[in-house]
Amino acid sequence: MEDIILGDYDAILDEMPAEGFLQMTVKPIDMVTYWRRCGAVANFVANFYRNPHNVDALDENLISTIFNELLENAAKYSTKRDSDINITIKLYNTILKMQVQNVCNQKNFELLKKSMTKLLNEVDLDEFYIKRMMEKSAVDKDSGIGLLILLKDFPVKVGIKMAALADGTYQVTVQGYYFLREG
Amino acid sequence: MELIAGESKLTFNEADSLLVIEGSMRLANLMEYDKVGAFLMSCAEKSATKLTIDMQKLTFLNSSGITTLSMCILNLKKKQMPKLLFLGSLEFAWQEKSLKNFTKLWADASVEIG
Repeated sequence: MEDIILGDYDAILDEMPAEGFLQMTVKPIDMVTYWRRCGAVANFVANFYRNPHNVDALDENLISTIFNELLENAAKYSTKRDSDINITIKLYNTILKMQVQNVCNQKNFELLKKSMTKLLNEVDLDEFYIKRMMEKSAVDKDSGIGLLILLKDFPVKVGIKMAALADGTYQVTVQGYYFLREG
Repeated sequence: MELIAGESKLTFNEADSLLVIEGSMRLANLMEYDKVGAFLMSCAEKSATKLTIDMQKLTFLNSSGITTLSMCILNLKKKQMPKLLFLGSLEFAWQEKSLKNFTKLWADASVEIG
C-alpha cells in the first residue's frame, strides 16, 4: 500500500532549520494507566515553548490544549501498549510544529482514514460539528472530534501520514501547525 | 452537592442554581465522562428556569469533555428547560475558542466571557 497523506502534512519540511527542538518518546501503557500523564506531558511542552518572541502568555494554555488532543489520540488508538509514541516539536519563528507518531491496528487505521478524509474535505466545520453532536452513537462521537475542534476553533493546520508496516499494523504520523500570536 | 472528576471539582449550589466547575478536566473518554454528564443533568433538573455554569476557574477541558457538555445541552434542548448560562474567563484561552460552540447547539444556551 502506498502511503496515505492528508491535509497539510509536511507544510514545513523537517530539513528546515528550527529555532527550537524538543523530542521525546512515551509509551501508550503509561498514558492509559495514568491518563493524567497526557495532560502532564502537554503542560510540559507548553511551558517549554511558552512566550517565544514575547507572544502573550495565553499561548501556553492553547499549546497545552492543542498538544493534549494530539497525544490523547495517539495514546487511545495505539495497538500495542508497550509500543512507542514518538513526539517531535519544533519552533519555526511564529509557527510551532507538533508531530506525534504512533502505531495502530487495521480497524483504527480505517476509522482514522475515514474520519480524517471526511473532516479535511468539510466546507462548513460548524455545521459538521453540530451534525456530529447529534449522531446517536457515542463511539462515532468520540473519534476524530478532537481534531475537528482544533481545526474549527484554533489557529491550527493539521496533516496526517499513514503507512502500512510489514507486520500488518500502520504507522500514523499526525502534524499540528500552531500559529502563535504576535505580541 | 459535589463531584470530583479526575483533577476537577464540580460544586452545585441549589439555592442559586449555580454549578461551579474548576481545576483541569481531561478524562480519558466519553464513558469516564458519564458521571459528569449525569451530575450536570441532575443540577439542571434542580434548577427552575436557568442554570448558571461557572467555568472561570477551569484551566482545561478536553474534546471528550466538550462533547459531553454538548450532549447535555442537546438533551436539555429536547426537554426545553432550563436555560443555560456559561461563564468563562479570558485568562484561559481555550474558553474563548471553545465555549461559543455551546450557543450553536441551542439558542437558550448563552456564554459570557470576561
